[in-house]
Amino acid sequence: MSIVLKNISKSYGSIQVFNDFNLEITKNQITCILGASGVGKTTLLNILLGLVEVDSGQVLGLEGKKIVAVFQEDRLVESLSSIKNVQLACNNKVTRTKLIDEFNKVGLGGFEDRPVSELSGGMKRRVAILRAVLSESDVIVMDEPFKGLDVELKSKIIEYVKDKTRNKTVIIVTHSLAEVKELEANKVDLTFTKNNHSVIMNEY
Amino acid sequence: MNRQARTKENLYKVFAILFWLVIWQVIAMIIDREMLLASPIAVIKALANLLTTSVFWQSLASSFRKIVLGFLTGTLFGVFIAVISYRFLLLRELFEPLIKVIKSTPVASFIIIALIWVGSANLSVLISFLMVVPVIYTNTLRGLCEIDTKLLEMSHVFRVSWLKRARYIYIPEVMPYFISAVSVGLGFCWKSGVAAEVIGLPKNSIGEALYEAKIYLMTKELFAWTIVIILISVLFERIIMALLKWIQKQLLL
Ligand SMILES: Nc1ncnc2c1ncn2[C@@H]1O[C@H](COP(=O)(O)OP(=O)(O)OP(=O)(O)O)[C@@H](O)[C@H]1O
Ligand SMILES: [Mg+2]
Repeated sequence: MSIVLKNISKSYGSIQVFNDFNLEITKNQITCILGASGVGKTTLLNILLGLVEVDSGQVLGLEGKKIVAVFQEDRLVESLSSIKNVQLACNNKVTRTKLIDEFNKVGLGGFEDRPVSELSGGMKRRVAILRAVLSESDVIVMDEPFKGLDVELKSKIIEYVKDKTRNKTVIIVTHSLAEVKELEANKVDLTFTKNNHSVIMNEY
Repeated sequence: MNRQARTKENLYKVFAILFWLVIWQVIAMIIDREMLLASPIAVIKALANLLTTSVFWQSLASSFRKIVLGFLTGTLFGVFIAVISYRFLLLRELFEPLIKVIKSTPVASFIIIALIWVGSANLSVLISFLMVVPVIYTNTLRGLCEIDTKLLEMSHVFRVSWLKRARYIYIPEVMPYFISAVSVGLGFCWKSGVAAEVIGLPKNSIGEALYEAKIYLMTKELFAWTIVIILISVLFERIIMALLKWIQKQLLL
């Protein structure tokens, strides 16, 4: 079953972000969400994650599913080592050896035991990505996951994400059409309508 | 800091201590009345004498045991009510006025009331308990409230078990607040615990020894006991702090 947002409305005080908004997200594929800053992309993901309550409307297709995230801000525990951050989110059965292997794949080999506070912005981003894809889940949402990665590294990480999330429902917020292409993803455009801060979508 | 700088700093520290000891000795010699101000040399002699008596060790052990017991139970209780207050707003509001009252009541009032309630034998247990609870409660609760809600949201999203959540998010975040509360609380315990004993005069206690020194005008002994109290409280604090720092480190592994 796909994920369906039905007649969603959400306001923050006087700011109406969604007004009777509808969207269907195909399951087991990657869907990219694009749109101007402030249009409501993060809000949309937070609604899916259950972190933001809608004023009205329904989210269907997530019942009993585990949905995890790469947050817009990394939300890593800074004092913990990067591997511990990943272990916190994944099954205890996943071995250290296996995790180190994954760290190597994203170019973080040797940084497993460093506290997150000592990593660069792009490294933290990769730890956040590892945590999301290695955690057992049905759906993954990612809020600008490739932010702060150089072109070459970005391609490598995109391949890694594609590989790790095969046959999973993945929703990725991005500002880059090139990323959509590389991800071979569906595309949803969120745009402001005339009465401002409400949203329409076009699926290609 | 490099080795040389550290050696230099230590030298300065030793110098500072010697400096004040000399000043003390000189003033004592100028006043020349042991009853008013005992000289450091006289105090050290008195201390050496004390160490040979069994009453000294008995008093020290009994006061130490009671004050530390009050401190430990107070700490546990303080953490407990902080945690349940964090969880339930109603309880927080319920404890708030109580803690405020305990905090602003003069220690002397508590000592007198406690003397009536529990008698002199366990007086210092109760007093040191009462002194430590508000500090631990307030700091622990503050630490809990300052935990980044975004991290907590993250832990819910990833369904991190409560045990892991406690060990890797809650406790490490609260630890710095807790450690500073313990350090402050320990100081309170010793000062108020001994003060309580001076008023309640339980048998074989530091307070009783201080009181006797006072009525017989044994200034040397008074000073000697004071030094002992300072040393034992500093030593105990060092041990507790080292233990907590060690725990803090282990938690992150
Ligand atoms: N917690 C909040 N309280 C009040 N207003 C909020 C809150 N979160 C978001 N908003 C408002 O909702 C609107 C959408 O915000 P959102 O963060 O979803 O945008 P976004 O599309 O993710 O933008 P960006 O690309 O900059 O991350 C903005 O106008 C923002 O000011
Ligand atoms: Mg956003």
